[in-house]
Order: sequence, then C-alpha cells, then structure tokens
Amino acid sequence: MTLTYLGWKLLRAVVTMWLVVTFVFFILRLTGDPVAQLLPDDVDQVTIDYYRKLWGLDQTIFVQYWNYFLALFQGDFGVSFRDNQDALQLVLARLPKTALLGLTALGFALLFGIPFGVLAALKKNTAFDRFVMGLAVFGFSMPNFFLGILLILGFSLQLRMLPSSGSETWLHMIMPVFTLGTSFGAQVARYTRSSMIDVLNRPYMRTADAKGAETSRRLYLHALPNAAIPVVTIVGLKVGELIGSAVITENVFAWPGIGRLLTSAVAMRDLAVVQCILMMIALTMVLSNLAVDLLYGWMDPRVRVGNREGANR
Amino acid sequence: MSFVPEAGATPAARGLVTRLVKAFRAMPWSVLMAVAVLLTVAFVTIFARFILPFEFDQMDLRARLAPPLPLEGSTWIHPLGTDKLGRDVFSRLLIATQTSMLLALLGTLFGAVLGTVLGFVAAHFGKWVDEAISTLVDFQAAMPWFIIALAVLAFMGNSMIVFLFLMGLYGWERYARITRGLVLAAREEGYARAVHALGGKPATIYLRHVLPNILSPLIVQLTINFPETILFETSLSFLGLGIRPPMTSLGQMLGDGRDYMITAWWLAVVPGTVIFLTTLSMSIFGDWLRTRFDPSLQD
Amino acid sequence: MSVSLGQQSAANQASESSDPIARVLSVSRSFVYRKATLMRQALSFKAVDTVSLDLQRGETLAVVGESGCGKSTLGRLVAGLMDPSEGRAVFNGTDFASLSHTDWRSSRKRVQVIFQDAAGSLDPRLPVEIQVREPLDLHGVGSPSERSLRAAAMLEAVQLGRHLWAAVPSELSGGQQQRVVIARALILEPDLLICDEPVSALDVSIQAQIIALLMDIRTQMGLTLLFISHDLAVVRQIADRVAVMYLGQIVECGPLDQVFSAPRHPYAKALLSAVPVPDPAAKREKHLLAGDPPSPQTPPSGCRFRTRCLKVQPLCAQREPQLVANGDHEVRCHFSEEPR
Repeated sequence: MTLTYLGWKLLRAVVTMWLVVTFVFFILRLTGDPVAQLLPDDVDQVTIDYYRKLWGLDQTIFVQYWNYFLALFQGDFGVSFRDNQDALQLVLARLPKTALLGLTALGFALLFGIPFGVLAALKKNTAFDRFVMGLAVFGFSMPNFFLGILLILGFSLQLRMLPSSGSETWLHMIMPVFTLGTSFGAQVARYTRSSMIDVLNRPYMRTADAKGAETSRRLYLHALPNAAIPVVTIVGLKVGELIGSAVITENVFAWPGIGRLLTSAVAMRDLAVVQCILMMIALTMVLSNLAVDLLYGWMDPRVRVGNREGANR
Repeated sequence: MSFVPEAGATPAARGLVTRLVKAFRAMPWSVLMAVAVLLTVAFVTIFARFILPFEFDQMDLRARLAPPLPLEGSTWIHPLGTDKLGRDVFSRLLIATQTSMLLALLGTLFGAVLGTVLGFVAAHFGKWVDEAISTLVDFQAAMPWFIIALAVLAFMGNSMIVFLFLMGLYGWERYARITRGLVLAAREEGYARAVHALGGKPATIYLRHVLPNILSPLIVQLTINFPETILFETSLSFLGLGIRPPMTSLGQMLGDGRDYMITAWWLAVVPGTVIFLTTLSMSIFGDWLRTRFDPSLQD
Repeated sequence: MSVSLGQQSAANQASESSDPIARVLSVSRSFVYRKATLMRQALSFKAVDTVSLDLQRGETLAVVGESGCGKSTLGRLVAGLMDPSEGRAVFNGTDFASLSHTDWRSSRKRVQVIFQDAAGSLDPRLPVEIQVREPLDLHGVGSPSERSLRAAAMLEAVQLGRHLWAAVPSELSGGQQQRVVIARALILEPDLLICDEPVSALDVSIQAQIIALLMDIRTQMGLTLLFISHDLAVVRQIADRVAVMYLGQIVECGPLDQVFSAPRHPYAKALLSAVPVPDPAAKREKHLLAGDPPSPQTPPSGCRFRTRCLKVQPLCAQREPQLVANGDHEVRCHFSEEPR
C-alpha cells in the first residue's frame, strides 16, 4: 500500500514536470524560431548552426520534441545574452543566494507562526488570540513589495540602521527575510491555530480536559503532532507562493538571487535563462510536494492505506 | 468550531432586505470599517472619471514632486502631491485604483466562471475528461502562477492581451477543484437524485438545484481570490511587466515611486497604502463571510 | 412510450391490460467494492442476484428483508433508475435499456419513486410548493397557471396545511416532508409508485398517517405500488402480495395472508415470528434469528441462509435450492414441504 501511494505521487511529479517541459516547448515554437529566441542576437553563425542541428529544427515536430527533452536532460538550456554564458551555469551561480534567503524566511515564518498559532489556539477567544490573529490578517494582507519599501523607508533612509540593498553581510538579510517571511508566517499562524483548535475539540481531548490538568497537559503534547499534519500540507502548498514572493523581494532589495535574474531575463527576453529558471522552479516544486506527501504519509498512517482520491487531498 | 449554523445560514426565502439589515447590525466594528473601505474603493472604481480634479496624465513641470497635504509646501490643488512630471497624484490614484480594481474583478470573475464550469464538466463526464481536467488542476496548483506568468510574458512579449489572459487564468483551478468535489457530493445527495428520478435533464439539475446549493463556498473562495488577484496584478505591474505607462495602476505607481524614495516617499506610500487597505478589508470581510455563511470552513 | 420492438410490441399491446405493468426478468446487479488498478482486479458483489418478479396492475407488492438484502436495489431496477448488470427490467412492455435518454425521461411520468430520506430528497433551498410543481415544469405539462393549480390541489390531497406551502423543507417536520415528497411523486399521475422505506424514518404515530394517506391515494388513483420495507407490521396493512428477500435473492413470494399466516421458508418464519399478532391468544412458534447475515461479498455455498438456519442439513451446503412454485406461492428451500 505504501508503495502504491508512493507510486502515485512519483507519477504525479513526473507528469507535472512533463507538462512544464511540454508547455515551454510549445510556447517557444508558438512565438517564432526557438534558436533565434534562445540565443543572443550577436552570436556567430557556427553556434546558430550547432543549435539548429542539435535541436533538429529541420525534422518533424515529434523528433524536435524528443530532442528537446534530451537536451534538457543533459542540462543544455541554451546560451544567455550575458557574456554568452551557459544558461544553467548562470542560474546555478545564483542558486545559493536564493536558497539562503528562502530557507531563512521559511525558518523565520515557522519559528513565529507555529508557537503563536498554538498559543492563540490554547487561549482561544481571549484578547491575546484576537491580537495575534489580527496581526496575522495584517501580515498576509500586506503586499510584500510594499512592506519592503516601508522597511527601506524606515530602517535605511530614516534610521539609517540597515542597508537597503545587496547581500554581503548578515545585516543585509534582516529586511529581506522579514519581508519574505511575514506573510508566510501569518498564514502558518492561522492554519496552526485552526488545526490546533480542531484537534482540541476532538472528543478524547475534551475527556482529558474533564479529567484534570495533569492528563490534559500530557495530551496537549499529543495534540501537537496531530495539529501539525494539516500545517505541513499547507506549508507544502504555499512553497510556490513563497517562490513568487521571493522574486519580488529580491527585486526590492537588489538581492542577487534567481528571482532578480528572472525578472531581468524576462525584461530582456533572455529566454534561455527564463526556461532554465522555470524548469528549476518546477523541479523544486515537484520535489517539495513529494517531500510533503511523504512526510504527510509518515505522520498520518491513515493516508498510506488510502486510495488515490484520499491521497490527493 | 461551531456546529450550529447561524441564522444567516438557513436558506429560508425571507426578505433579502431584512436579512441584509440583520447582517449589517451583527457586524463587528472591524468588519464595518472593512466594508466602508470596500464601498469607497467601489465608488472610486465606478465614478473615478467624474471626481477627477485633473486629467491623470496632465503634466505641470513647474510643480514637480510637490509633497502631500499636511507637509510643508503642499497645496490644496494637489492634496496628495505631484510626481516627477508634476502630475497630480490624487488624480492618478483614482485612475490607478479604477484600473487595478477592474482588472482584479474581471480576472477573478473569469477565473471563477471558467473554474466552476470546468468543475461541473469534470464531475459530469468523469472518466478521461475528469482525468484531463484534474491533471490540469494539479499542474496549475503545482506551479506558482506568478512564475508561469513571468515566463509567458517573456516568451510571448509583454502585451496587454497576454496580461489579461494571465489574469483571467489566475486561480481557476481552485474553483474547479471545489466545484468538482461539491458537485460529486451533491449528486450523491437525495435532492439531485430525486430530480433525476423525476425526469430532470442534467442541465436542469445542475443549474437549478446543484449550483444554488453549492454557491456559498464558491463565493467564499471568490472573496479569498479577489485580494490575491489584486496582488497578482500589482506585483507584475510593480516589476514593470503588467500595466505600463502611459496607463497606470496601483502597482505601476508604486513601482514608479520606488525611484523617488529619498526625495518623495509619498509616491510609493500612497498607492501602497491603497493596495494594503483594500486587500486587508477584503480579507477581513471574507473571514467574516466565511464564519457566517460556511460553518464547514470555519476556524 | 411504447417504442418497443416489432413482434413483441404487437403482442404486448394486444394483451396490455392483463399483462403485468412492470416485470423484471432474471435481473442481477453487481457493485464494485474495490476498484481495479494496474496490479489487481476489481472485486464486485451481486446486490441483486437473478430475481424475477411481475407486478400486476393495481396490486401492491411488498418487498421485505433485512437491511442490505438488496431490496432497495431491486426497487431501483424496477423503477428503471439503475441499469441491471444482467437480465431485463420491463415497464409497460418496454425494456428500459432500449429507451433513449429523452424516452427514458418521459417514462418518469409513469413511474415514480419515494425514498426513505424525505428531507434529503428535497432541495433544501426551494419552497415546497415550487418543488411539488417541478415535475410538471420538467415535463412541460399544461400551462404555468394550470401547473400551479395542480400543485395546490396535490398539496391539498396530501393534507399539507396551506400555511406551509411557502416554507423550505427544513421548516417542516419529517411527516410533512414526506407528504411533500408524495405530492411531488404523484403530481404526474404515475401508474406505478415505488416506495422505498417511505415511513421508517418517521415516528410511529406519523407512520400510520402516512400509510393511511398512501392507501387512500392508491385507491383514488388506481396506483400500482411496490412497497419496500423491513417493517412487517406496516406491510401487513398495505400489501396484497409479499416477497421476502435474503442476500440478493427472493426466498419466498406469495399472497399476503398465505405468507403471513403460513410462511414456509425458515427465514420468513423467523422474520414473521417477531411481528406482533392481533390475537394475543394465538400460539406461535418462536424462531429467533441468530447473528448477522453473512457478507454479500462472500455468500455461503449452496443455500445462502444455511449459516443461520435452525433446520440446516448437509444437502443445504451442497446444492443451491431453486424457487419452487406451489400455486401462486413460491419458496426457495430444499425442505419447505417437511412437516413443521
């Protein structure tokens, strides 16, 4: 059963990747000559001929499709406008900065979101709960580009405490991490709270409450992992949103990561880089979804025996 | 979690007006404020053209970067100041709000209709149709649409039509997923089977019986998606990839104002505040609607 | 409606009045309880297993049995709401399977069904008056004003107070809801009404009212009734004939008085021994049913009742008994003729 579950998940991951590749393949051909699109204008004829031959543009669309797959598998995404660099190399060079920003922001969001969500649930309907949840609504309604600008206005221009752009020191990280993590943390807090309340409302928790504080304290510890299950799912679902927000955050703070590379590549129509980043993000999404599914299956044994319908939830 | 639906949830065919008045009275002050903001935004969206003091692209190079009202050097002529070309920020704000709201509204409605229809189609036909639509839903849910949008704008070029298309497709998969699930459940319910047994056509069953009964979760989803669509548009415009000059939107204004943060901070703060207040109000109002009309989704 | 095939339809029309209004011929219906995947086969069981039944015009046939015996499925097959896996379901001489979608829909004017869950089978959002009128709208019967008049007359006929006509279902009691459902089913003036546990969700006092209403309307409209119930006390009031089902098969079928006074199948005996008798002085043998019925997914070999039968013999495990008719009384038991 576990194998079937795993099998479905892997199949879905492969299908998603296949759809992304197919999507890019067709959209490239919809808009003109892919070689012209994926190579810089000033590239020499030898390179153009090399890629024409490599992608077999004289052959049928099916052969082209197949060859496109092969090229991608070998990490060949084309050549960037920038110094005629290999697109993959360019993207990989930026990856660590984005990973650093993204993972720190994720950690920040979980570090604040989960404890505050749990506390709000335990103190349900008190002033504390209302305050935290009010803050959370503010947090996720705040567009991150505006939050970033406000932070720059306050801490860089007014107070002159923090640098507004770059990534050289840990001081550079404070504002981007806060900008990226706030909305996410607010959502984590909300989901943690509602999931925790849900668990606390289950009959066995109520019984424990009735039996006295000692029992109930011990059971709260059991409630936490149960409450974590939906939170994990939500975190997995929102990784895409986090990546989207990272693009904007990197722009606001001139953070030299993939997001900034992506927007400049989009503006310059540097398609080799764009398609490479797209594939990278797709792979990240697929892998993180897979990780969440596995984690979910491991945390909640009921899922493992469930059918595909149940596993999709 | 409350298991007892409140009075508003009973679908009784009582007077709509009395129900609205009742709902209004039951609103906490935060929701009242949110409704006030939303009504103002709606008013501006409809009547922007009529309350405009200046044409939004009318330049006055002698009065460039004038500050907004309480600040020193401000005038009543330009209550929110002027931008780098001496254009009235208040007038620009009205037009930008109108553009952003109309785009978000169109985008949300298009996505909702498309998703709902596809959800019905998937549930009705089942088999490979269902599989195909579900795969698309999974795909759309798996990839961040913002990134896809950036890529499409790069591949297809930055045109208004492509942009509108991307706005319309934003979020459709959620409606499709919800509708499909609800229709499958509703079809198992007695009333849908009963109408089938009475000789009703599928279209009659879906439109007359199933759709009205599943409408409230869809409306809740609408209130969740609307602020996200606003953010989608403003984010793209902020990056210079959505609405671009000579047109303006809240995101475009904000992106523009970013270059003047040192000398004229209000150019960024004014449109940013409008975006924030709108999405905040919509979230507060949406939360209230959800707890009131959809007990199953309640916290 | 009678768009049946050549010879058959001529024969049917010639003797329509004496022909059964509805009949099922060796119908079976399987349900999949484990879906097939790439690596394993689907598993299914027969909820109804090779049942044949005739419904004569104007009669009331009751189908009784424990829950899960397939009686509801049989009702749906007779109503044409479900396609049989094997065999044929015929109504007015026409096989449901031969009907186009349009013809099938118009056949609903002649066959109607009342389900147990009255609240569930009503749209929670629409006023009941609109819902009673709806079948006329669906089939385009009469002008809009006529439809409203007929809906009003029907609501009068089921004795639903006029002040409740604009209410939504949740504002009605269970009995009132069932009256609405009956009104909605009968407004098309069908020939055959299939009642699937119509009163079992109701209080006993309300049950009696609804049964009285059904009997009343049956006489007025000349209805044929297929009455599905596990409640033998109710069945005794309303039925002309009774069919007893066990694990998807009919084990005994005959006129009400014969089956009730002298049941011949051990299962029927056991069921009936639990019914209160009008004459408390009458002596009756007590047969108690032990245990739960076996899973229909793995029915016992031979006679399906043998695992719970008091008179089980070695033969019962080896050979499956057939329905044997004695006059109009059929029984499926190797030893039904044994002295009691």
